[in-house]
Amino acid sequence: MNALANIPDTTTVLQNGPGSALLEVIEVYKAFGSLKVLDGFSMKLFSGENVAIVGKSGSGKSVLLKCIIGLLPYDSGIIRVLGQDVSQLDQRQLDRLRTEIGFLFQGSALYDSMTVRENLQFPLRRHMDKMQNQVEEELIRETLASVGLEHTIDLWPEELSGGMQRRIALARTLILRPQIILYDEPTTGLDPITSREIIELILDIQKQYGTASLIITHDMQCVRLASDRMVILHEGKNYATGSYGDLKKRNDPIIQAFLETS
Amino acid sequence: MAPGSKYQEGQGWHFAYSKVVQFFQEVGEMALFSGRFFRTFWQPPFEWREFINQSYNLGNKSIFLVSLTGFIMGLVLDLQSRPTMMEFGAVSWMPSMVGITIVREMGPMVTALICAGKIGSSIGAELGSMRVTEQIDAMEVSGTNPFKFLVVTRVMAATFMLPLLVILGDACSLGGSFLVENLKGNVSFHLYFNQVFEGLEMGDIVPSTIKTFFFGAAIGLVGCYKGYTSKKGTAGVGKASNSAVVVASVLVFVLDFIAVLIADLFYEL
Amino acid sequence: MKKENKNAARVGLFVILSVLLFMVGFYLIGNNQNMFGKTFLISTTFHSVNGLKKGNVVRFNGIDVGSISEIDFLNDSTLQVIMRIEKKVKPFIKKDATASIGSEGLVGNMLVNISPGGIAPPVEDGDVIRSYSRVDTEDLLDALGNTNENIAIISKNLLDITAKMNSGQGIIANLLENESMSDDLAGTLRHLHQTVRVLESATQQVNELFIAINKGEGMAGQILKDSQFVPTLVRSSERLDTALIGLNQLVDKTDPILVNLLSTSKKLDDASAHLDTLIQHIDRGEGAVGALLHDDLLRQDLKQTMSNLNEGTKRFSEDMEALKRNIFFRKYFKEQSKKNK
Repeated sequence: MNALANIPDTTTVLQNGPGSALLEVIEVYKAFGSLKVLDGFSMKLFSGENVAIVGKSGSGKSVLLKCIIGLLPYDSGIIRVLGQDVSQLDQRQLDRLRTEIGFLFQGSALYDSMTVRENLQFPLRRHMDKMQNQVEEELIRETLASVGLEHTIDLWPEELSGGMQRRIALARTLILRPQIILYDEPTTGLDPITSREIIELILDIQKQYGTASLIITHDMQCVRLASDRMVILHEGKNYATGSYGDLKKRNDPIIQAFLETS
Repeated sequence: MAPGSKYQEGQGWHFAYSKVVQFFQEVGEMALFSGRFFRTFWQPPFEWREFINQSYNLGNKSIFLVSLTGFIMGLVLDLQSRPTMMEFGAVSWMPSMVGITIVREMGPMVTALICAGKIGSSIGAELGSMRVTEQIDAMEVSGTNPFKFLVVTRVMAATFMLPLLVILGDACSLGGSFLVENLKGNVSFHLYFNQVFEGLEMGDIVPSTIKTFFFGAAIGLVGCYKGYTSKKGTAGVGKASNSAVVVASVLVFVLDFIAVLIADLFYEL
Repeated sequence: MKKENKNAARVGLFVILSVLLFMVGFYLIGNNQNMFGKTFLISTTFHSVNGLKKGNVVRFNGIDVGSISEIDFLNDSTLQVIMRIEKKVKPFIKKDATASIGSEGLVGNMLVNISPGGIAPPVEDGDVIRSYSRVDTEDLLDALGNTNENIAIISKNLLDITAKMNSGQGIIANLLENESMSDDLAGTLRHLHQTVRVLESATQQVNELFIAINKGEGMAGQILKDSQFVPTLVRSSERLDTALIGLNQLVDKTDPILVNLLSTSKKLDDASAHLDTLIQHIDRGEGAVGALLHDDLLRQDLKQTMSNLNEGTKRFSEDMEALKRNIFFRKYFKEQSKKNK
């Protein structure tokens, strides 16, 4: 990974030792007009763990992710990523921080005017200093290989199946070797078998690169298999936190309602 | 997003009022969008590669369409006006007349409308679908200002490609007209174009070329605005591209009117 | 990568082709207005430019050689028209070339026509050339009316003089009767008399013609009638000629004292020659339209002729008076008056 030696090291958190959070969300409020989406939501994400956030659709899970990565401004509260307060950053600092956070979009969001190779080149070229073509090519191939789709390098997104698109999108976020990956509904629109493959890939990546993941989903299979911990987002608040097994034991009707949907 | 859009249906003047508010909101948002374009335009770096790509997409890919419509327009214009001119015994004036008509008005207008249809809708649909599938967000996350990468390049490409397309369209129109004159009146190539350019003045070609830049900018800006701010869902994309064409076409007419007024001031026709 | 480069090349090709196309058009239009290439400026003045505009064509012998670059007021009745002319025709436009305003066709644009000059050196940059406005029919008719009046006055004078001579009033009549050389003189004067009559009737015809023109019976149609008018004028001038030849012979025979008379008759001769060329002009003008085209020259000639004729006849009567008082003739005149007693 010599090619990545020049990634700007903005990470101070890791040096703070284990136990400190990569991502902290504290009492965040966000409303669209009169509709309160986040109503004092708090949570933490620690190094190397996979956390799943579960909530009804329209409950503001995607909004939370977009607030974390700085795509949406939030009304009040603090979101701290790798020790930096997202709302206090200027565009440059935000761009730097974003090299440390991968974001897997719901519909893959592959650029359909570009080939797979160009899709992977895009964040590389935008975030990094210009690297040698050969190094770049190697990095792209290696990352594609890690999602098992090296042969698709010259294909167009429209020529790929939904599952393959999801993998390419994952490769695109992985290519910067982020410390945190935010998954926005990684398994929606996929058949159960492909979903399973994606879940395995998420776990693989966690093992391979040691990244922490925040997974937003309402797919309980995904929660059960992929997450170490789960957070239930209910009425804009962190209703409950715990592992799948812990929460399953609780006798709360709301929690049970969530867990039984699968 | 727009609060004015939640009007109470069928409530007489209330409905009209909300429509008016909606209209002003739209105009205001478009103006803000244009302002954002000019602000972003000056921020380095300029996305040259994407600009070239878009120039190819918007310009080169319209060449055939513009040439064909231009050619047919010249052909029809000549065929239609020839009998009238013949009545006056002024057939020898056909080249100058057609030349002035095409260079001053028909060429820029028809090409701009064709491009409002083609370029406006393609930008609207493309950006609309990029918005809906979160590609625009993905770009932002990838350290790229999507406004700069998508909007500025497309608007600039449209601004610079439309004048070129108009020139091409004009040339093809004159070609079409020449064909008719040549077949019906035995006018030689040399004589025809001699007469065309005899009838033309700088006062014809300069303002009509300048205004095409504005046509291009308007088409690009409207297409981008509609696409960039399109609502979620596939219906949003269709609406974006549709209203991009409508608004761009209307704007082209409005701009043309303004251009004539200004040209009038300077050249007194 | 390859695809992108190819696209870039295509865009480049399209841009270059279109810009070239534009530049060709721009150049062709500019060429028409002489914006490029070597040009020089000359100017002329008009009282009225009849709707001539900046950018209108300038023609030299019918070829487009330039365009109007400026039209300005020099004073309340004069307009300065500055023309931009191609340098290559400079040697052919002489300093005495004339500019006139015309139109491209029945309803076409106005233009300036430069007629070539004579033997003067070629024009320089910034020269002012002459102009005449043949488009102003009213002016033309006014001027011709003046000429016409002049002719009437002259012929009346001539008529008076010859009438007096004829009726034997005064001394000259007696002189003519008594001396041997008087036969010639008498004949001459008879001829003169006839000439004046013809001239008078010719004048009458000219008069009628212009009345008709003024009535607006169509200039062209009326002047076409000049097939009658022209030969009459020719005939009258021929007679005037023979009369003058006779007068010349007479003068040759008399004493050198009559030198004055000779010069007078020479002037008359000149006048008739002018009349002759004038008529030839009209003749050569191939009918009405031609005559009209030349009418500026014609008018000037006519004016000149008439003033010459006027002067000639005036001198003639003066000379006769002088002759009467001359020392050598005084005696003869006295004898004559005695005899009459």
